[in-house]
Amino acid sequence: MEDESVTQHFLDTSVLRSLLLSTQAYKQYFESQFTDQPLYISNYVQMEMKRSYLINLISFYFVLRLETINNIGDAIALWSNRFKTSELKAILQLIPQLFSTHQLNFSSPQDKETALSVLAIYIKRFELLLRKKFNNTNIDSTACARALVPLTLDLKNPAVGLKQFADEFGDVETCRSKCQIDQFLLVQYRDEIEQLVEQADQLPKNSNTRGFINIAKNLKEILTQGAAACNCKRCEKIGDAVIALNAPRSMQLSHTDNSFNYLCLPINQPHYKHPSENQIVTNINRQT
Amino acid sequence: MNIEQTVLEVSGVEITKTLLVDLQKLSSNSGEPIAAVYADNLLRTMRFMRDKLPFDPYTEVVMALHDALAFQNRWIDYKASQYKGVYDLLTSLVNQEKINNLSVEDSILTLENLGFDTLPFGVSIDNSLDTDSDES
Repeated sequence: MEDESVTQHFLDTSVLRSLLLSTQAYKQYFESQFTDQPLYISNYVQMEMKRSYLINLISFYFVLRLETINNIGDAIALWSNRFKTSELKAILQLIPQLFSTHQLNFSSPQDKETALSVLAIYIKRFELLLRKKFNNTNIDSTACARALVPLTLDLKNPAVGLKQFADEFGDVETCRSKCQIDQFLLVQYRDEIEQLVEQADQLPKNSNTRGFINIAKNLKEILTQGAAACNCKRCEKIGDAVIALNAPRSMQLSHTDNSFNYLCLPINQPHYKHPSENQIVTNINRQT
Repeated sequence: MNIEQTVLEVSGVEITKTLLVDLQKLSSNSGEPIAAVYADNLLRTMRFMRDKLPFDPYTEVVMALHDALAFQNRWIDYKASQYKGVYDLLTSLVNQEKINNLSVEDSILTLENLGFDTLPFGVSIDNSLDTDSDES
């Protein structure tokens, strides 16, 4: 029989991402918080990781693979010159660490093939840990079809599997035709969404409330326009709301985002906001 | 048997077996300066394996361990019991002679459960990666 006193944690994407990808100090913080306690994620949270990180890793793989790119350095230069968002900059942090650890020469054309192989192995491992390292609630009332797109890699020819994943994950029209986000927002949780919109209308706009108010603005448009306003792009903007509504109420939702402070209260979702990576690192530096 | 034939017969199982010797030494010398002798040899052999057998399923497992150990010289921090755990894991794999994708996946998860961080590369999260959030 399961011990009811043990807190079960449902991880938002911000915490999942930190457990998989953050610096050692921040990972150790979370490990100390979650010692021996069961950690859960959902398909939707997995999808957010694929959308914000995995798909960009795959894009970098194909930049490096280009026949016009002679070496690792060329690929990094092209990426850093052309792609500027925080999601894309994250790739620039990973790649030098990964390839330096493998003792690869960034200006050697010979090492380009080894780099492609190393990156494919890393991508496969990342997807595995995303899929299997944490428990899955097996509850996704949105029935997100993007979340279900498989990544099947044959390391002898990884480009085939990576391209297939990119094609299917990027086919948002087909994915949207299969999901139930409109039912989820407009029927199953309509009352809660109306409450959230009403709450946002009464809040002052500041750095604490900004994220939540932006989410509520998008929810309001969905309420006004109906199912036609629901698409994968919009889902990016309301992801925290979807995660909060879909979280098991018996679990504590772990997050680092302010928006959950406003999203969880009206729906009675237990939650905990963890300090940011900067706060943890600053504290460690103060102590040393 | 000439040299060329020997090279052709190098397999994932055989190279993985050679790693066991260094892992055993690391287990008995963890935390000691002498451990560097075996860490250096281990990591070089792992990269030799990567270059010679990039598509071998054993290589995939070994690369997960390589990244955990090589990044920022974290091999120094792992404990004797962890090296013993990975020794047992790889011994079990080489005894199977041939492994499939499921065995690879289970092995990488076992490495994680032993405490090896197989995704050690830190991506600083100054700005949130998902567009709707407002991390502070």
